[in-house]
Amino acid sequence: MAASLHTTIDDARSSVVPGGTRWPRLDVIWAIGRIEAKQMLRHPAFLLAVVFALLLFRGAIGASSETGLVLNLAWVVGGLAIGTLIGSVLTANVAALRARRDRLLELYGSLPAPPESRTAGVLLGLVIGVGGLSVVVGALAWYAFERLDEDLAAGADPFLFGQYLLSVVALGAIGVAVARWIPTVLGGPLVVIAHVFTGMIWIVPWIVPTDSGIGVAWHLTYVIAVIAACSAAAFLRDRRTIARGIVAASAFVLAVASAVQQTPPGGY
Amino acid sequence: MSAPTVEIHDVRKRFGRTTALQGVAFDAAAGITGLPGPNDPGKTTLLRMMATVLAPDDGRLRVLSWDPQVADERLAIRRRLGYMPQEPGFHRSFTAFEFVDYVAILKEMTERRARHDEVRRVLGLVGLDDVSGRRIKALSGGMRRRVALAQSLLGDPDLLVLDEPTAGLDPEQRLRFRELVSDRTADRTVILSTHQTEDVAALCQRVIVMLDGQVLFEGTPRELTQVADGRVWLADDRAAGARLSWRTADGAHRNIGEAPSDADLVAPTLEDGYLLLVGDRAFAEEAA
Repeated sequence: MAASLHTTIDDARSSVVPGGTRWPRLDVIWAIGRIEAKQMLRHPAFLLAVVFALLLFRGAIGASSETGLVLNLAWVVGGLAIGTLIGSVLTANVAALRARRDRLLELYGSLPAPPESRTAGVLLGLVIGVGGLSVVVGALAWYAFERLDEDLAAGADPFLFGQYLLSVVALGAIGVAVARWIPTVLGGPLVVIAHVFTGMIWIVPWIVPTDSGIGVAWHLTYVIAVIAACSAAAFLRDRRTIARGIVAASAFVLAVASAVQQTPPGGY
Repeated sequence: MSAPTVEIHDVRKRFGRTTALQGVAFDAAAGITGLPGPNDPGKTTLLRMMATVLAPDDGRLRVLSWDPQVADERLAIRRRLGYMPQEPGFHRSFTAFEFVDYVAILKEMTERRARHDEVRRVLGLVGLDDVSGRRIKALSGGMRRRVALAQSLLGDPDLLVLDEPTAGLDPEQRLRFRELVSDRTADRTVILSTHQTEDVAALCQRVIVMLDGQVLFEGTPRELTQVADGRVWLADDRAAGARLSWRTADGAHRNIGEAPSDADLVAPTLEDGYLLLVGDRAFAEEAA
């Protein structure tokens, strides 16, 4: 009886921890964000994603007969860019899942900072950690494009750079929302697999060159709306309020509308 | 007894068809209150309520003079509470320092230097200063428990709720734990759940014995020991009236139960009192 009761308590635990305060403190979020940023960047899921993408690009470009600094930079930059995009989903997902997976909801429930502090801290950590690294990767790519090859220089523009940074954050936010609503370690990998192999990535792409005819403003609106919708969905899981539901639904509607609006006539 | 820090009146809790607490009532004041006995769901449920992570179905609970059912008061309790759950979890990829630091942030200690000083202080109190930079997954079970104890001590809380803090600790660590807890000033309250009756005898000013979700005994360790007065004796063999009997190191049998008139009575311990109290209840239920 004791064992079954313990199981019942464990099952019910996360839903019975009563909240303490309505709003998380900004200084708490900032402090958590700093720690989460470091933890995300050094997490094996993130490192493996980056290494995997680097090897993939090295293999693809290494097959070319051409060699030289440009190509070497191309595979490094390409690998890092794709690696940070994939790694962002995985590491943010793991970070948002950590308290539940490590059976810390009971302890954290007894502390004054509400669960929203941790959610906000993970999102902030995503921005300053993986997002910060993406700024470096983006700058490196820009340098490579601008300085080393005239053909590539034509493709380097602020829109592309901005899309990449926002996409890294958006994919991480998806990882956080998935962790909150589907609390399993398979959530992150499944998002990546579903995204690539169901063709979703080609229907509503993340990063699109300006000359594809895409509606630039709508595309940026779309990516920002995805970030807002996923963040609101994650906070909604922490505490279900009507206001949060309205924000999440509105952001979702905006994401869908801007996804449709951004598409050029006849597709990409 | 000074003003109660924890007041529990007719508290009830059910999980589905199972009753964990059925009308529990007692007060705990400054000092150390022990809840001895084996892992009991009712005991753990009660500690979770004191730690504000579980609400009662019925009854009244006040912690540090506040009502945990009221959001603002619950927050006030959490700011003055230290809690070590029965099965403490850890971020295993964090170092001991990082983990305690993370908990410190969630305790709203946001000034970095002061927080780090406090983390070093509590890790030092539990004797983990040497391994604070080691990842938790590389620490032994006893060390991990000390990490869990360390986080509960952050900020020198007014109320410390400890669920089985000495489980998995070696004898030296247990003595160190006793030293640490007993060193706390007289105006602090410690609620200590443990299956080690020696810890209760050594540390606690008050004892609450719970069984099947009810309070079976409330009093001092001396009063619990007195339950076994005249009911513990030595004999060459297991005696007929003994509920429990075991052979001691010098070959004699230590019997606990209804002693014969010519029994060689010995001074009881708190454990004897506890065993008889729980045994009497089981015996009465069996007879009924």
